[in-house]
Amino acid sequence: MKTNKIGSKKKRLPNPKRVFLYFLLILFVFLTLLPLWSAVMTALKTQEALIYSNPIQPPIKPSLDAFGTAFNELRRPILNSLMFTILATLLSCVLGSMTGYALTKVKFRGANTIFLFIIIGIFIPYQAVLIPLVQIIIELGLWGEISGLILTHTAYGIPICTLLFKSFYDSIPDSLINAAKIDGAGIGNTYLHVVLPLSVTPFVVTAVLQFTQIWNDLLFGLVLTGAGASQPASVALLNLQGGFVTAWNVQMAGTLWYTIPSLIVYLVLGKYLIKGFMTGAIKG
Amino acid sequence: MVSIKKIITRDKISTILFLIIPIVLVIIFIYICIIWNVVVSFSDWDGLRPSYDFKGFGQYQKLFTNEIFLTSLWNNIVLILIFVPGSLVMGLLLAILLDQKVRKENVFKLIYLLPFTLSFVVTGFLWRWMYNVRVGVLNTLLESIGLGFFRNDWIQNVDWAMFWVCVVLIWQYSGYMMLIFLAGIRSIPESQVMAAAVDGASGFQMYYRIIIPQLKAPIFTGFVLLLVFALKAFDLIFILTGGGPGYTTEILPLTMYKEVFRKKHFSYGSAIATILFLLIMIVVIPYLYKTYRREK
Amino acid sequence: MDPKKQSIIIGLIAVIATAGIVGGVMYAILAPSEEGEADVLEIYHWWTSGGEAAAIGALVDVFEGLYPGTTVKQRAISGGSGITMIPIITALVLAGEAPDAFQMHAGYEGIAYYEADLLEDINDIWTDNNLEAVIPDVVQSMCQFEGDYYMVPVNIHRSNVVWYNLKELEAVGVDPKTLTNWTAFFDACFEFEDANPGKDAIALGHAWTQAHLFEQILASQGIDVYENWINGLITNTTDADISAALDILTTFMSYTNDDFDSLSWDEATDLLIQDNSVFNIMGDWANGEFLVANSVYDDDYGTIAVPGTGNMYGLVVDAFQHPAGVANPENSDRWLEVVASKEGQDAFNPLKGSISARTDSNLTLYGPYHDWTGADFASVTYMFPSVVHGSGAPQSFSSELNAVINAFCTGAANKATTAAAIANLAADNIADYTTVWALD
Repeated sequence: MKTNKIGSKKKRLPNPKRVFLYFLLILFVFLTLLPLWSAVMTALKTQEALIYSNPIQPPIKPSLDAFGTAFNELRRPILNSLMFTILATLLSCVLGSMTGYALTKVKFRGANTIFLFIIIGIFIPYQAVLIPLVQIIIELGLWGEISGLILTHTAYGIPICTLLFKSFYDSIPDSLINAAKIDGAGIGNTYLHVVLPLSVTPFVVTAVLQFTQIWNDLLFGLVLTGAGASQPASVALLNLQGGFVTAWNVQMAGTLWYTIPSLIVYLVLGKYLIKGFMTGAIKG
Repeated sequence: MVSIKKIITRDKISTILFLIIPIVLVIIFIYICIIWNVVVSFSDWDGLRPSYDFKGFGQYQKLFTNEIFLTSLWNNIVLILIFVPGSLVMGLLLAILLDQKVRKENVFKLIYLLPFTLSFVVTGFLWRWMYNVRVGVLNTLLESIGLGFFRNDWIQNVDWAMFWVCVVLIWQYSGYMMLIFLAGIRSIPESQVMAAAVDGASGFQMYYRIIIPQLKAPIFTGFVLLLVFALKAFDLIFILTGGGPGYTTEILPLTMYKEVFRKKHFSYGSAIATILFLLIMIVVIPYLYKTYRREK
Repeated sequence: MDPKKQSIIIGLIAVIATAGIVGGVMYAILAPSEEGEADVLEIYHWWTSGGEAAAIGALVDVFEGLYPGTTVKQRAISGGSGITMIPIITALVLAGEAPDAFQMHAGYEGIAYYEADLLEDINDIWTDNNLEAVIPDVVQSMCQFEGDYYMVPVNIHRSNVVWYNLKELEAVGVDPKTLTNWTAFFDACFEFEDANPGKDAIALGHAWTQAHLFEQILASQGIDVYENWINGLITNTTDADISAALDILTTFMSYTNDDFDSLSWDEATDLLIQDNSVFNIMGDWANGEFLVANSVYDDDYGTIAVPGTGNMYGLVVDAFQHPAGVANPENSDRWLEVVASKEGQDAFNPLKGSISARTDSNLTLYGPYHDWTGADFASVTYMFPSVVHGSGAPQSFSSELNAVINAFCTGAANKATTAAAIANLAADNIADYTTVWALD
């Protein structure tokens, strides 16, 4: 494509193949964004306007009523979700980092076995642990409490965090560690002074991934909280729909409120999230 | 001067300290829970009071004569058959399109990946609105562009509900598969592609002959991840259809949840969960073995 | 240490500290709101839509009027038939944190709690408030397990109602009062379809609405047939009554809309409101749909009992109970007393669209539809508890019935298979039939 000098630009005709390529790309953008677009348009309408307009048309008179109604219902659940998501993200990242480090940089027999034994946890269907989990959380007196959700999300976050940190620490040259060892630093000090300062990227990558995963969870919230004070946003969202008739504008507004925090994370730190997806190659 | 022995002991203790919390959590929340779940499936706990008297394989026998379980199992298979190839093909298509030295590639990438970052709860509600028969997005959209005869009852349709559920999942997962394939395509050495171009391979042939055969590893990874997910999917179907109409979109995780928490059949539900766990392990253990074997 | 590393560590610490402070502040804001209230009544229910929410609100108002010091915490979880709420209750009960009372269908739906000793008997409440004198026998037995009372009913919906489009019916010259048997009913269907080519006489919806319909047809075969059915006595795979009911259902299906399996119950009722069909069999919560559409009773639409069930009242009953070990036992009892009281029932039911479970209720508070059904409630010979709506038969039976009937209606199963499936469903779960109903 070196022949495409600036001078030749004006006489270049649009290549039909390129036009078709961009047509396809934009078509897929349209298909990807259609549900979100119509959600925004629907949320901006009043219940009456909803009946007389098509869901992808912008409202003639935008109204924030639906957003207001939904926010009143979701204010506390969203704070709950923020709280346990942030804390469980931090805890699982710290634990994942320590595990990842101990399994890569401390040479001991069985490290690989322990690693496999931990990361199987990434794949298990949560239904296979659901009944015992509910029992454990009840026994600990944490049922219906935010702390119960923090513990649960931390525990089930360890496998993926370990995987991410380990794959990053694998790329730290052993010579760095050995140098610290020669200086007489123990494992703890090496971790604190050598490894941790190098871990900013994996911390961000893992934290972003964990934040999204925990924020998006429904099942644990469903079985570990009632309708009381510590209900997560994902569960509260179920409750916006009426018994018989769904007020779609309110439902969509609530859905958007719930999406905003994870959307911000994605738009600001998308690069790191992509890295997390690639390294972990897991969601579920 | 610290003796070597002391250092080793100190390091041993530190290692244990580093690993103790995560390992204890993993043992309790994963391994003990899984074993406990199996114990429950053999027990007579059938109701709101936990009870652990051994009852044997009764629940497992019941599973394979129970129509709802068999339907769910079959639906899980249908889900795999539509969703897994669907996502792989869409992901590959997007990756190939984006590989054409597209301007603003990163913007396209960010948009295509967006659905994957959404919660299934969000996807579920968005698409319930899309599929709403009377006033939903798709039907009114079709009507307004003169394609009213395509109006459809989507996920309400007994024969097609599962298909439309799969469409939603493909919508959500294509971007992720694109990411995996794009990385795969980009890692193919330029020289090979050039050589093929010199040989006169056209764009299509190039992909068909040179590039796709080299994507075996990402396709395998994608395949396993999608398969595992297809077995585990719960949130989306729970919100989108709740398993309906009838049992047409009911899949194993949903059946387990309903049996336990709606009908209070604890041992029966945990038997379903055990089967589900075994199915996933059949897929995952060979995958992990293949991936991590060389490191041993 | 080099300054870059140092700044990174400081950065990390800052992030963690910020998160901790944010968390702490949030906790400080959030936590106190749930503390420090000793006198509380916490109730769970699934009444979240307009009229329903207003109805439970009115009932709570009655309670708060009597006990102004008590804070009532309503936990409304949407999803018809408690589809989302029941799992939450299951978890709450397992956690030993059962609410002071929660909504459920009377009858078998409560048996799982009873069998696990999680309900307290409330015989005292029934005696002290003299409820047996004002609540019909069948409703009484729906509130009992093994002879003791464990629930109080809050309302009664009627299941065996035919809703008709009066104008369309008059247009083909049919007098609804004559439709007391299936032959007359199907003749009227024929007349309508003959006069309105392209339209279907009967509006039908998806899954459970079909089982609901089957239940009414079975009742039309006689109260003894229905009684045997819910007592688990129909286990013959070629039972004549089931077979006759399925024959009626086959004829019925030939007059329904083709897309029945994709319509919710209210969408089916709407077909009738919009003059696209003339009949719809549905419980009397459907009345709300007509009111929303500004249809006028006895002018635009009207009701008769399902053919053959003129002397019967199909019961769909919501109830509350006193779970064992609740946080506020005294408030739980008070709540049940308010629920069962004349004032409570007459506050709740006119808004809910149901009638009071008490025969002494003030019928002038209700609309014209309820005048008709309220009069029937006081005069019918027989009452029967609904299976589809959780009361009449064990859950192991009722939860599978929908799929069996759905398979028949969609043509996936023939009559013999369906009759056998219904009989086997009862036979396979015979141990679960612990209540012996006496309907006549």
